[in-house]
Amino acid sequence: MGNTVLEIKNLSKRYNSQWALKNINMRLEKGRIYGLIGKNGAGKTTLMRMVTGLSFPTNGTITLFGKDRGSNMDEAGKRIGALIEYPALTSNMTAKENLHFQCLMKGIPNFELEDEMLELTGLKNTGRKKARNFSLGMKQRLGIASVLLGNPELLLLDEPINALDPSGVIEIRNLLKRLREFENKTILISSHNLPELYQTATDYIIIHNGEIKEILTHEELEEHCKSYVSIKCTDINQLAMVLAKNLHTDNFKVMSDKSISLYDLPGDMEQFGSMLYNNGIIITKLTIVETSLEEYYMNVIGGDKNV
Amino acid sequence: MFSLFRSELYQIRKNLAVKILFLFVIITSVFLGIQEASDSYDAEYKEIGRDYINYGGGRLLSDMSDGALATLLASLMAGWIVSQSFENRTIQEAVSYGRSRTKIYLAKIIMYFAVSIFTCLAMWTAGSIFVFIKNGIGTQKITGNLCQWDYLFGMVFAGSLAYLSIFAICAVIAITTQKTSITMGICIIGITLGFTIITKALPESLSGMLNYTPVGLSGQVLKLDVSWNDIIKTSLTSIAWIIGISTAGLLKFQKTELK
Repeated sequence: MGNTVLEIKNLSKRYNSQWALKNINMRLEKGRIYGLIGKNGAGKTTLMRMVTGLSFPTNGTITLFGKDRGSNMDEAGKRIGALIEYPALTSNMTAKENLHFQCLMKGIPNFELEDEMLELTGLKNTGRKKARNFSLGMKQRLGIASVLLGNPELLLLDEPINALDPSGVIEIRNLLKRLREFENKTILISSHNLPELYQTATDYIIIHNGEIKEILTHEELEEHCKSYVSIKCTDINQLAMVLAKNLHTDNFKVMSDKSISLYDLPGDMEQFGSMLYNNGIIITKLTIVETSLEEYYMNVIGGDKNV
Repeated sequence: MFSLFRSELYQIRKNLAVKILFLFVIITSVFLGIQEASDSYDAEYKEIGRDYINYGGGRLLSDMSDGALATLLASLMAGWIVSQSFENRTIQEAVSYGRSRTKIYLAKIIMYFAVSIFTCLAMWTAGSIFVFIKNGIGTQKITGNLCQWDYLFGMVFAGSLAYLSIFAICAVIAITTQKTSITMGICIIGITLGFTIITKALPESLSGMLNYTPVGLSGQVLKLDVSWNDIIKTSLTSIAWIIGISTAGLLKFQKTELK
C-alpha cells in the first residue's frame, strides 16, 4: 500500500439511464506513467473528473494516498495536479499573471515558481501577451505549467499534447519522463496519439465503453507486439523440426490457422528461404508481421466495428 | 480561505470589463451629477413637486430608488465575476486542487457582493455629491428625516442590504447556469420583468407581502420619512434573505457536477 498512489474499486458512474463507467478497478503505483487509451466517449475524462472531485461516483471507492477521497480531498487534492479537457486560463491575463493567480488560489507562497514553470514549458518569452492571444499549443503549455505549480505527486493529464507542434510533443514527453525518473511522480495521461504514448508510458490502461479491458506494462505490451515471421506451408510438423534443428530455436508458436509464428527473426531472409527449401519445406505464405500499439488496442476492443 | 480571497481580488483587479464598467458608471454619474446640480434643474424639480431632489439627502434617495439600474449592474457583475469563473475553469481548478467547495463559494460570493455594492455606492455618491456641496443635505420640511446624517447613513446601509438580497438571486442564477451571457440575460430580463409581472399579478391583499421580499424591501427604507424601525426591520429581513438565498446557492453548488 505504501507505493500505491491511487486505488479505485468497483467505481461506476451513471448519467440518467446510461452507464459512463462500469465497475472500474485499478491501482496506480508511484513513479510510473500510465497511458489511458480509449476512443471518444470511452470514459477517460469521466474517470479523471471523479478522481479530482469534479464529478461524483454512483458506486465504488476512490482512495488517494491511502485515504478515502471523499473525506480527505483537501490534503489529497494538494498532491494532485490535473489538466482535464481544457486548461484553466483567465484570458485577459498574461502567462505570468495566470500563474500568479494560480499561486494565490492554491495558497502557494513561493512566487519564484512562476518563472521556473514558464521556463520549463517554453513560455518564458511571452511577455505581456494575453492568454486570449495564445495559440492552442501555448494554452496547453500554460495549463501544464499551472498544474506543475504545486509540485504534485500525481498528475492527471487529459490529452495534454493536443494541438502541440512536433517539438512541443517531444518537449512534453521528455518533461514527463524527467518528472517520473528524477522526481518519482506518478502520471496518468490520456491520449489519442498512440505512437506517442508508446514512447512515453510505462503502463497502459485500455478502456472501452466504460469498462477497463486490459491493464498491462510496457514490457508485456512489447511481448504482445513484437515482430514475427508468419509461415504457412504444406507440412507444419516438418517445419517445426527444421526450425528447431537448423535455427536452434524454440521461440515459435503453432497457430490455430496451421501457420507458425517465428519470433526470432532471421537476419537474411533469402538464406532462410533457401534453407527451408533445401529441407523440403514448401512455403505457401511467408509474411513479416509487426503489431503496433494501435493494432493491439484494436484487437483488445474487438476490431474496427467498435470504433 | 485568505488565499482564496486574495486570488479573487487579483482576478477582479485584472478584469478589464469590470474596470471599464466601474469607470463608465462613475464618469456618467459625475457628469449627470454636475448637470443636475445646475440652477435650471433646481427650478424644474421644484415645479414638479420633487424639490427634495435639489438637496443631498433627497438626491441620494432618488438615485438609490432606481432599482432597475442597480439590478443591471449586479447582473453584469454576476456574469463577469461568478459565471466566467466556470467558463474559464478556474473554479474547477480550485475544486480539483482540493479547496473546499464551501470556501470557494464563499470567497466568490462575498467578492461579488462587495464589488457590486461598492459600484452602486460609488455611483450613488458620485451622482449626489455635487448637490450635497451646492445645496447641502436638506431641511426637515423638504427632505424629512434625510436631513439628518444618521438617518441618511441608516437608509444607505439598509437600502444596500435590500439590494444585496436581489444580488444574491443573481449570484445563484450565475452558479446554476455557469454561463456568462445566459446569466446576464436571465438576471436582467428575468428579474426586472419578473418583479414587474409579480407586482402586477398579485392581488392587492397579498401585495403587501412583497414588502418583505427582495422585490419590495428597498421600498420600505427608501423614503423621506424613513424611521429607525424601518431601517432595522429592513436590514434584518434583508440579511435573512441574503443568508437564505446564498445557502440555497451553496447547497446547489456542493452537488453540482463540474464539467
